[in-house]
Amino acid sequence: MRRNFCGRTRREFLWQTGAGFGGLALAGMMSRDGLLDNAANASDAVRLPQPHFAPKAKSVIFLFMYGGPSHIDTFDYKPTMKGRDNQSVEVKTFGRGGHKNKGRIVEPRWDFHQYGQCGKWVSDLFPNVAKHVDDIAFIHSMTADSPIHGSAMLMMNSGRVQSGHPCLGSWVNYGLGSVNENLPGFVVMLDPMGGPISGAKNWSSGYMPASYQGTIFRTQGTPILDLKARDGVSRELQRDLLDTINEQNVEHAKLRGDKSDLLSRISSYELAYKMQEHAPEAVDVSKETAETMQLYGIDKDRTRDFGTKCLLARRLVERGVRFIQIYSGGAHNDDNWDAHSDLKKNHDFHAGNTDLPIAGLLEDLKRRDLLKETLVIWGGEFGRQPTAEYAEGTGRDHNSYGFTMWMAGGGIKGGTSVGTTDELGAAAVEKPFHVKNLHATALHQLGIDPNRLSYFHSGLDQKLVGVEPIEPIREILS
Amino acid sequence: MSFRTVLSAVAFGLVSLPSLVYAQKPEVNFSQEIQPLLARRCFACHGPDKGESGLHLNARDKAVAKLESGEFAIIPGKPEESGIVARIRSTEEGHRMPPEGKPLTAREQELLTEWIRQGAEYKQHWAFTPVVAPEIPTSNAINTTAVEGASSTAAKSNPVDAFIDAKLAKHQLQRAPRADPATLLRRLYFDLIGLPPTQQEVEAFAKASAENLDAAWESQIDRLLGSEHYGERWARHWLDVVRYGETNSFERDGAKPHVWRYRDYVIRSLNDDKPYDQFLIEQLAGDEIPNVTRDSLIATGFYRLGIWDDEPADRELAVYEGYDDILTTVGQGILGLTINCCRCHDHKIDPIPTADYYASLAFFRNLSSNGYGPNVERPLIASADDRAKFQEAEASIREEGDRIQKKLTQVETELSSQLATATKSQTTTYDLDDLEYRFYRETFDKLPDFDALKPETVATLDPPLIDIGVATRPDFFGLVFTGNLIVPADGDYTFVLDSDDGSRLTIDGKVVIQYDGIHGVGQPKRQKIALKQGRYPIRVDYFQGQFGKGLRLNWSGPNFKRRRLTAESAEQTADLNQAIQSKNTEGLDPALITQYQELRRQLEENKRRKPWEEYGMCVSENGTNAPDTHILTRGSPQAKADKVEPAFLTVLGGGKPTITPNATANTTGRRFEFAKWVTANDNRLTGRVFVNRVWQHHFGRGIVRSPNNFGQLGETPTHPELLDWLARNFVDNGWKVKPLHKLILMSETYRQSSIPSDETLASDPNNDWFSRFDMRRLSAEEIRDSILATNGRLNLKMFGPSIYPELSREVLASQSVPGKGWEKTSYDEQARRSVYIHIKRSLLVPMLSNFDFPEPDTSCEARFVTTQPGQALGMLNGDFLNQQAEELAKRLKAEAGEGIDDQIVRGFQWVFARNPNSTEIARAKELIDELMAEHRLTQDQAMNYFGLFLFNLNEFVYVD
Repeated sequence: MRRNFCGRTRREFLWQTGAGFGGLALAGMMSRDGLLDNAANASDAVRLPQPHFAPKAKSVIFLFMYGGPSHIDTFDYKPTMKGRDNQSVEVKTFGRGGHKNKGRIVEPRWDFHQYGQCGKWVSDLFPNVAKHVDDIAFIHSMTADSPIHGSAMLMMNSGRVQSGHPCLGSWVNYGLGSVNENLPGFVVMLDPMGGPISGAKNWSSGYMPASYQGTIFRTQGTPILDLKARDGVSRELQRDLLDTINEQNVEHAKLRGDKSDLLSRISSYELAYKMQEHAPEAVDVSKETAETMQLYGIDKDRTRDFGTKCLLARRLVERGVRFIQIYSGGAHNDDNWDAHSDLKKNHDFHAGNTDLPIAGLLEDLKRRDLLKETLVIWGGEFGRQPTAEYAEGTGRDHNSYGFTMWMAGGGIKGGTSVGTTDELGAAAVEKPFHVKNLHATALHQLGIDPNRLSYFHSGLDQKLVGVEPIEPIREILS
Repeated sequence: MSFRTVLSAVAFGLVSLPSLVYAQKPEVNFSQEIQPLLARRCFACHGPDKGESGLHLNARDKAVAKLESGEFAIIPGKPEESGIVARIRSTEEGHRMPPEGKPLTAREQELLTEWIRQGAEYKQHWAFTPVVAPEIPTSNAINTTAVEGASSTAAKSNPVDAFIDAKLAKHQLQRAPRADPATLLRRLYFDLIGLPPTQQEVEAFAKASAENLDAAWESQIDRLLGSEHYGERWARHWLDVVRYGETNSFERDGAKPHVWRYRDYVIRSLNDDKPYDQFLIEQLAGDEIPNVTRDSLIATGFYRLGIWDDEPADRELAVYEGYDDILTTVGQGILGLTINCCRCHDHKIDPIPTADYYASLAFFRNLSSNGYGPNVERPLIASADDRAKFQEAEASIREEGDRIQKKLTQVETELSSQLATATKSQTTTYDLDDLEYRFYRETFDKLPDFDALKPETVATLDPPLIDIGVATRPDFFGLVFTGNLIVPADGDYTFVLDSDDGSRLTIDGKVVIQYDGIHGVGQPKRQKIALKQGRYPIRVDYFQGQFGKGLRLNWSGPNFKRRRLTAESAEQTADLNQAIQSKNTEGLDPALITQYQELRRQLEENKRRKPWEEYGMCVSENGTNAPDTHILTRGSPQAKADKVEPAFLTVLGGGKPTITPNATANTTGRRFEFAKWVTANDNRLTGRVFVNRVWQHHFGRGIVRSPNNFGQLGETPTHPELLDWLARNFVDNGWKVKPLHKLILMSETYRQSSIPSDETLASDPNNDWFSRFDMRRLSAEEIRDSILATNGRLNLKMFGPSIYPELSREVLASQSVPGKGWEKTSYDEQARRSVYIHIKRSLLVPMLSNFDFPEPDTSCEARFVTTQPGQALGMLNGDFLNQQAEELAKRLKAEAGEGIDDQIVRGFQWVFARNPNSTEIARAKELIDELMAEHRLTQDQAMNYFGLFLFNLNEFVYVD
């Protein structure tokens, strides 16, 4: 609302007038339909917020391995740990079990092999992803502020351990706007086991308008809440209902002065009507070839669910959706990557569900020439400790002192690895990077200066990366 | 782009200033017109932090100083020679200042120029100056054309209109004509009670206004201000400001105990027209005031409303996050100041140093931690009488507990020995003798000097094993064991001590192991000492706080490995339980077993008994002495700098309070002093900020459009004189809110039409001057409540624990445990007003958040008003809307009969409080016919869609 501008910046103002989910289209439709009599108003709202510099990536797919995958069992090769199983070692760790100064080594439970031109060592948990190492940049020296799921999830998603701040997906849409009028710009797909801990806080828009929050997409049934008309309501019936509503609304607006809000609302109904047609099309994979389905592992029980989500992610990217987040793992304990008791069983399960689909996604994006403009991010809220959590067994506690994440596509230099952890993988040693650097990198690739994109709230120009200037991880940029 | 590069490129003399025509102009108000402009547009490069080209515009001496280039940006009195004037007027890209964003508007340019001409004085920001009521403009000052057409008598008699009209006249605007009675009444209903009027009410009002307009209007205002629903509507405005949420957020997002009482307190306070100063004092220091009441205790729940992490990665930092949450809310919510900006560094714009942040924090430094338990959940006891009753009840529960425990211990000992005999186990030699214990019934958080305390019980232990099972209460106690240690031979002995909570081992008068504080077991402490053969006095001190407990002491020596000096009473109990549960009870007396089980049940029951009926979520402090408060460098608790004492903000006059610890409340007394300062009649912000909020909710925007920020980065008030007049008047008349409402509502300004003329729209597009009333969309709560009100389902039951509207499976699936923390509420209870809906931070009700219900983690100053297709989807396809449309159709059929026309007419009457015209009837009829004929719906089904049609109309969700 123009009159409630309240000192918000242009971007913020645009947002509120509806440059969020469907808002762009709204203004566009109004000016096309001649409903917006004030041409200046229309062009104001139609203009997308501009990136700060030429973007490398247009969309982000964040594959969120909820629970915290073990870096030393996946991509952070620690050959010297071999044969040291059960050795007692002095090492500082901090997890849900508190601070400890020594522990019993659990040596990595999978063999590693070298892959690609770059010769990257990858464990047998990800034999298919391993084939794409030449497109991937590994960041082995990630650090985060908390080794506790709830706050660590908030940190990975919103850059803070406190709730109430907008998530990366919200910032991306705030910074760039949405280019598809029929789909939300920030889509979240959850694991069939359930949502992650803290639920909707992980895709909240915080102090930004709620229309910037992530929209849950389902792979079965109606993709979006309330998208589908009630049972027994045909398209035609709905059209008749809408026509009558519109007629009455237009008459109502005629008698009023400043019509823009009223007309926006009329248009929003038309947009909703169109979305009902187009959003289901985005999730309809029936026209995909059998070969594509196989590529994503949709023909296999194990990988069907995650494969379908990866395929949908590609389809959403094709349709201009800015930010897609797919969760591997949900609910609690071994329903996600949180391997506190039996590491082998847990990671075999979750990696087995996701390895082929992720490889398929990378392959498919590449052959369609989409990978170069799509930034794929893989990782969890933290990694895991090199030592055992309990006296018995192979379970590892949480580790935010050092862990691995990887990125591919969207202007990322493939076949690179940056940063290291110590010989056990307990903590980052060379070139440690904070979650904020990861966020800065994502924004940077999208053409946004992470230190300039701000939103005025609580008396401050709030930024995703915080007050202090944060550099993107330049070592992995092509 | 720096000032220097261009200054050197442009010769001053060549810059022409064609539009500068100096007439005698009124004095430019620095704090309102110049300071905010400089702060917003210039300070990023030329402010307190950065001074590109040597130019700082934040202080006069710097602003008029010579630049690095040798030129001057500002020469007081001489705009033609001031570099800044040339630069802001430049049309050359790269030369013009500011380099980013739009150029300054013509008016802004003119203001700056005029200000320099008048001497470029830096006067204090308006909001930091004392509130002095300005003269009410007289009708002479009012442009007569502006008054024509509206009631000039009202303008004269209502100061609100006098101030508004003066500005209208100044801008050659006319107030819009008065809105018609139906519009007015609907506006007033939603504004004051958040519900629509019925058609009967509208008609009665129209009739009464025809007779005596002002009297009819006044009586409606009085009636609605007296309605108990007024509190339900206006409470929500306050709840937005104080970040009211009913759960803690974070991993568990647990429900806050008794939190709803705070919501009810706000509703009641508003309905009772509690003076705003009292309302604030109760929330800030309701436990410390002279007359503590049940309500004033509940009010202090204010401190507990925010987010709270029960498992933070950095505990000390989390404590400061908690303080910051409180300072942010108090600062922005009550004082309109972003004190929170000074946590890590001095405020960039406002004159608030970091030291002031910590001096303010010091008022709250002694708060006990948030969450659960006795810190937070407190019995609602106000009178001495109640206190005595409470203590009596507490004592009786305790005595009963002790009695059960004693008996239980006896039975347990007997059964245990029977079990030992039956299983033929147990040792016979002991390393201790003459063992005695002293039992202390008290709450400790570290080991006290037990010898200075009076034990409740002193007794010997036989067998001589250290045993905490002798305690006669499960939690909050201390024990001292003394006896002799029998050392069999000379040599080195290792002692291993583990405990939950604190313990200390002393042998022969020397402390061997110290393991104090509250902690759990699992990290035993060990110590090796040399002892000669013989008997040594041994002593073990121990205390138990709450939850888990345990004490284990082993030793080992030259001729033996690990031997136990403690009994394993917990293990014995477990064994006994196991034996009983697995029916492995051979050798045990069956009667004793029955008695044992019964006693355990009684003990459990006793533990659950509460000495008081009602508990509230309240504040408490850790005693009467606060720990030191230090300035934290860059906000880091690891970087403690200078110590500070509680002090008031210097920007508002400063000063140090005289503080008296409050023994009754067991607090430092600091918050009470803070509350008194906040609510002092001469506080420069409290009154201004509050009247602005009241104005905001009547008109859709505040006189200051940034209600949480009255600092220099906030918006400039459009009507500063009116704001100050209202604030002064409000404070001087006892901080009463209802008279303030009435004054505003009685004005012609409030009663104007929302339809502007084309000219007004063109010359006052943002309605800066209130040349019309702003149409507004209803809030999420109003939309939901109106649906229920018009279909007859609304359940007007007030107060009490929150309700849980049914959420679909898809919505619950976003939780890590679907449905967790979301209870079931009966259909009738679900139809209660939205203010009673449970606010779970990680699971906001989509129907509400779709329509901009705020994220409750931080203070919300003004809700967003978005228009999104998701709203349309919910309104057309959502469960709630369809269910309620069906309810409407059912009621129409029941009350209007079978006739479609009758139902249509009644539908409009109920939902819009008016009769439909013939076109509208025909239109609705056509829809219903179509649905029945073409889409083969039954009449009942078709009428459901008629209901949906009504609820989806703009007329339903907008109020003129």
